[in-house]
Amino acid sequence: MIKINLYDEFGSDLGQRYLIKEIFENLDNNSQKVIFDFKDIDFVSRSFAQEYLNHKMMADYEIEEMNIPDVVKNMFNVILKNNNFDEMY
Amino acid sequence: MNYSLWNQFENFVNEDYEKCFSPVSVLPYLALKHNFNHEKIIKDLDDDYCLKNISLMDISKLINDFYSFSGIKNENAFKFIMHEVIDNMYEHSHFTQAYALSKACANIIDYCFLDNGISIQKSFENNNFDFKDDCDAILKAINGKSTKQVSGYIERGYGLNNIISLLTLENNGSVLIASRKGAVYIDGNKIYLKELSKKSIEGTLICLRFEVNQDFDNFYSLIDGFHNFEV
Repeated sequence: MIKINLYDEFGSDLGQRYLIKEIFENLDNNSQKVIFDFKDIDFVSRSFAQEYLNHKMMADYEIEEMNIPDVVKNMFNVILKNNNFDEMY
Repeated sequence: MNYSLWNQFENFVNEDYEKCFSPVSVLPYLALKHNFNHEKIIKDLDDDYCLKNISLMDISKLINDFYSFSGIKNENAFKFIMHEVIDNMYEHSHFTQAYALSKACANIIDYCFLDNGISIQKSFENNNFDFKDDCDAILKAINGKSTKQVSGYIERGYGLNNIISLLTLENNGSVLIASRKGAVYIDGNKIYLKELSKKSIEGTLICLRFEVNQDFDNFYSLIDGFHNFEV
């Protein structure tokens, strides 16, 4: 199991798409379960959120999330709704 | 500051540089030259201010600096817009030099992003996307045509559309995008297209006007979905 604290990796703002892309690229081959901790995150961009959700859905390993703040949930939900997903945060 | 983004752009096209965009920058590290000229400014601005010299890891810090000088109330909406614009520049433009410029007056603040990249039209051409003319290509980019549509479950191409919806539909802002010989200006419900005859923009110019006292309470409703911008 791998736990990734996003604040420790990127600070309080999750902005650029490539940041989360790199994380997933490094995870792909050697992971069974990954936990993303959103503690102390104040902002997520649409690009970052889009990339995160896409990788999460395509991952062939288990992903868990913890401490997701409302600002992140709201952005995830907008993106999921726009792509006709019923499941919401 | 009496000029709309469009007026200023027309002055720029007509090479009346004293009346276009910004004689004063509110970003202390991005002092605009008095004689504004796209090519000249790309050439003359100090390398320290160039986005190519700013690590992508530091973009959030840069945007926080922008916000601290902006006076805009809704930090979330501001960061949303800035991250999308800068992310697009890094992903699509292949620039070697790019700059963010800004000015403020009364309750208005303008941000102008310049890059010397491949232009929206060239990016489309590289991906065999059809477009009628240079304005049409910009309009297609605004309406969600993305060259970065990759495999997966979540569709891309909403970012620029969301930015323009946020600024122009209910929050009294405006947006001007110029690339190669096309220019598109959106102000409220009005959309203007102009094919430039005298000048061609090397790369892309994106100007955003915020009304500072807007609270962007409608943030999530405006980014929820897609607005079709048509003339």
